[in-house]
Amino acid sequence: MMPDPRGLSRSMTRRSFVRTAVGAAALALAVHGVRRAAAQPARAKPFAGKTLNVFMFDHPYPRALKELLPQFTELTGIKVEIDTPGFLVYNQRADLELSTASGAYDVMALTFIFSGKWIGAGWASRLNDFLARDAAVDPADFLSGAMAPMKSGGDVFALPFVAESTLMVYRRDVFERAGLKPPETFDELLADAPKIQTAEVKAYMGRGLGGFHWIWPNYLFAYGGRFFADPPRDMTPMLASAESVKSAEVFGRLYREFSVPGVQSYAEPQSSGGMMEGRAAVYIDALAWVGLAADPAKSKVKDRVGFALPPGGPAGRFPQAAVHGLQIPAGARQKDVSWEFIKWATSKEVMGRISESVVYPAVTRASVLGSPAYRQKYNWGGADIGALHGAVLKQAGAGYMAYRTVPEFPPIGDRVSIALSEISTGQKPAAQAMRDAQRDVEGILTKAGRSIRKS
Amino acid sequence: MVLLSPALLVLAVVTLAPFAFLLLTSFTPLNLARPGTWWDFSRPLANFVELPGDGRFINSLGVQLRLSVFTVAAQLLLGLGAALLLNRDSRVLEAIRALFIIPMVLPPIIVAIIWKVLFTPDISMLNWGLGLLRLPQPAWLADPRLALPALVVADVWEWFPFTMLMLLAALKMMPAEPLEAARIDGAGPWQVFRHIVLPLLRPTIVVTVLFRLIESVKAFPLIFIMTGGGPGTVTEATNYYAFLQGFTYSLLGFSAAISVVVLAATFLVSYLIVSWAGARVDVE
Repeated sequence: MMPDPRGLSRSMTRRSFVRTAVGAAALALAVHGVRRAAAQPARAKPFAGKTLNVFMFDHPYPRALKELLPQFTELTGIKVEIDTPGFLVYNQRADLELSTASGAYDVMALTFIFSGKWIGAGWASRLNDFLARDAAVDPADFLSGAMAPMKSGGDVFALPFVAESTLMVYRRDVFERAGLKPPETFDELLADAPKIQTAEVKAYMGRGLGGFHWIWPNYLFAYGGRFFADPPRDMTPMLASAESVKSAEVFGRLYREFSVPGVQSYAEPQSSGGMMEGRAAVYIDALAWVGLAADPAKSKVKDRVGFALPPGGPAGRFPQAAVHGLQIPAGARQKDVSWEFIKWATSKEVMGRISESVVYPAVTRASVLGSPAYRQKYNWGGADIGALHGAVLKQAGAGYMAYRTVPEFPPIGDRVSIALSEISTGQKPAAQAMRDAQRDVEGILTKAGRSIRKS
Repeated sequence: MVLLSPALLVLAVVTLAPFAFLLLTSFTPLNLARPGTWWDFSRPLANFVELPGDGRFINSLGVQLRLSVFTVAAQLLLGLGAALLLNRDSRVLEAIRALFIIPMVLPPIIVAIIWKVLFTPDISMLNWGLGLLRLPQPAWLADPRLALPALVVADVWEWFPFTMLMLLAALKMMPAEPLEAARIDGAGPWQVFRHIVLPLLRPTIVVTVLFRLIESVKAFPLIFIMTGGGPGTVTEATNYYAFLQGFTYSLLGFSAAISVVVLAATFLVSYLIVSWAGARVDVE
């Protein structure tokens, strides 16, 4: 074959061309593949690079969430900062933050006793549209008693992360030594108290400060008392009735005569800490706090405690429940991003993981509550905690908790706590303290525009 | 006037504007949960009319009065005593003086936490020491008779260095001649103190009392951390009550009215003290 005067043979030119073309095509495909691979993570993480500010109160659940945040960031590319002041401080700041709609926080906790006020004032965003497009959230999996306070009418405003059923934790060894069974009624508890109390181990532990109004209603309803006549229709306060006074007397005596010195000024971490230290024989509080008595890492009495429903009284047993959720404030500026956090933080996976990794039985999802892992782990002192928790939520869902979510409850609860503090520290007899509270609560309701029958 | 304009502008923005907003708010039933109450001036004096009938407000005034009188008196006595003791030229005393100042420079929240721990029976070194001496170990913050005195102790511990420094500075600047003359004339230490030192210190004492009185109305961190206003309402001072009304109950209009009353009372008391002190100086 004669060489091409241009230095190329015709056949080599064709081969070279084909070779070049194939090489170019392969290179183009490779580049396209790399670009496509790079594009995929961006599409799967549409909010990568965003930062979320979350505001919750200090509680075992957000403490556990903080530990899991790196996983959320890896999953979504979203960086999260969680601010967790104490419960009382949180409620005060949250009230102000929500009212100004400043947008400083993208996700906030919805506190049970403020749910009526915050939802009613339009401070929480509707989540219906988010739920409609994210079927995997499976809202039907939330316990009905846990979802009820998060809704208004047919609208959902928060997803619940904790259902605080009130339970009683007791020292089995103390009761066995005294030859007694754990009390079924508050009258029994009061009668047993002097028999089980020693200098080192007091009969009773409870929360104090402004927290009295969370626990006292277990007593109030058990003795046939009521906060209001028929909330929310008839808001006439019933705090000075004979039944209410009786319940306050019993409550006050337990604090005054049968508890650790200074308990009236205890916040929940101090009360549960005292129980973990073995300072008391009986502690009645929310499950997230009483459950710590069984914490294998921290409790000195973990092998000696039993769990039961809180005692009842002449009118029956009315264990109280409170549910807190996660909401998107109306003023939040990146609601789609906020939703990503909420659905993750309340998901079956995360809730299940938290309940497995730390002591956290106060779950809100039926699938987690009924899981074999939960049932096996939360069998303390022979008690099926899941069954107790579920029983409280079911009973509380019957309607007697309605008093707690009326918009006027926060100042009323505060005023009732003052009365109970006066009774538990011996400043006033129960009848006088509750009469004074009745009068002041009538004033609060009248000022709020409610029509009531005055005493 | 032109030269004063920048200063007046700063005064207006920093001081007068917020006060004017507070005053305006006090004339409304502002409730954060009810937007319609924002600029409702239909009953401008309603909050002020309600105050005298509010038992909790009246109680808070009593608590505030007791808190202010006892803290200021104790700070003055302790500060004066420390100033007299430290009024010597000595390196050792200078070092001790520096240590005395520590409580004053701590953040108020830290002071509150320190005293909350000291007053919590289970973990209190104070109660432990009382136990060693076989003395009663009270639950300070849960005992209605002791909760307010406990706050007074914490407040005095925090602020007596301020009175000490003020009085020590006045002692250092005091002319030596009258003191020398008195001693030469045979006056004893108590006579020198009573008839010479104390009268010369009076203007400083008045200013110090005024400062501490105004500050005592702001004793919020201690109450918030240590007692939450309890047990009951025995430590619920007026500023704390105003805080609850505004930030727990969202009744900002009522809270503003309480704040205006407290401000007016503080001005009045300050004016009376200054007038009384001025009259005493004129007489002398």
